[in-house]
Amino acid sequence: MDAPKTLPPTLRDKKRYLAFEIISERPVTFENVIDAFWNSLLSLHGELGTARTNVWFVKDAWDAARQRGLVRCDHVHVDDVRVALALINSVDGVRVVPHSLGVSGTMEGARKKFLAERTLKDFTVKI
Amino acid sequence: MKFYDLHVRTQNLEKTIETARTLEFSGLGITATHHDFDAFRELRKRLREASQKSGIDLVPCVEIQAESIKTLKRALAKYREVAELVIVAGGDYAINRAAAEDGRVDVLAHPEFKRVDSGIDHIVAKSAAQNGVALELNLGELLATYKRVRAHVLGHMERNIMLAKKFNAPIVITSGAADEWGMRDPRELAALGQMLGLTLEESMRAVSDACVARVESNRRKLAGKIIYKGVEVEA
Repeated sequence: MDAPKTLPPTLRDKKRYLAFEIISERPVTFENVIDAFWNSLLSLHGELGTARTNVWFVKDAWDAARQRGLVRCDHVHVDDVRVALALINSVDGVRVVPHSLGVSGTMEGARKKFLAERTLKDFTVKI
Repeated sequence: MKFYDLHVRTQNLEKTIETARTLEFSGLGITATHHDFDAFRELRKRLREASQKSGIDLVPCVEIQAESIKTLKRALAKYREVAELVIVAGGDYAINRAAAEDGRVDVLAHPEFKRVDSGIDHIVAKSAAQNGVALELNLGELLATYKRVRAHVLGHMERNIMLAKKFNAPIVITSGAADEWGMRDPRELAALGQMLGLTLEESMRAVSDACVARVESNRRKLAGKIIYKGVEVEA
């Protein structure tokens, strides 16, 4: 009894996963991208607005080679997060063009569709 | 769906085209100022060649940065027959109003630029609607400002959108990029419109159909197919 029970599906937060790509002069790290993203979100929407977007950066999904990543947010505030992404000018002094690739309702779908990740399921053959 | 960004300046055309391709744009409005007529004609020629080579529709746009109404009228008379899109840099109320009242203008850019008010009132919005002058939402202005100034710019943009919607004035959303690093993808531009009071449909139209229709109609006019408003020659 040390943790609250999982809420029923109808009461849970409705999440979306926004896939993005960072086009930059030279490679940037995930930590620096997050810093720039947080700064942009806080300066555009303020603390309360940022709290409402309910953002969470998925560290495991960051593809350092292609500079692509996922950010989880509330389903109503996807466009607020998108504008904050668009307003990132530079990451750690490196000029960047952030590019939002698309939105998915599940992390699996976002990874598959925008990060082109494959699982064993994709290789199973129907007999 | 075709997406256009009608207000991009560039020093390196190849890189700009490459970025536009990555960001999934079908066309770009490459903008030059009205100060050098010969340079603009040269740019038009270069864009035509680059457009055929790259497959991205490059529209030669002139940005008239007029200090007075007289300069504006003179530049309009000079460039309207050459440029596929005429943008007037706003900011000064008299220029904003003169641009909205002139049917030769396609886009009134950043009417709220360096102002303490939004630069547009009900008279300008009504004139823009009557003459088909599109009001621009420029993302570049937000990229160049921070904190207090950005808050003011956002407020002014929201007010301009409210007025444009009230009087049915067309709206276009552009990046206003000074180089390829200032460009943003169409969905992000549309998200800005949505954040400031447009519906999803309206904001998507502001980066696609509104831009495409304007460019195509201007091309037909320059080719002599549209003789007068409502009179078109079918070849």
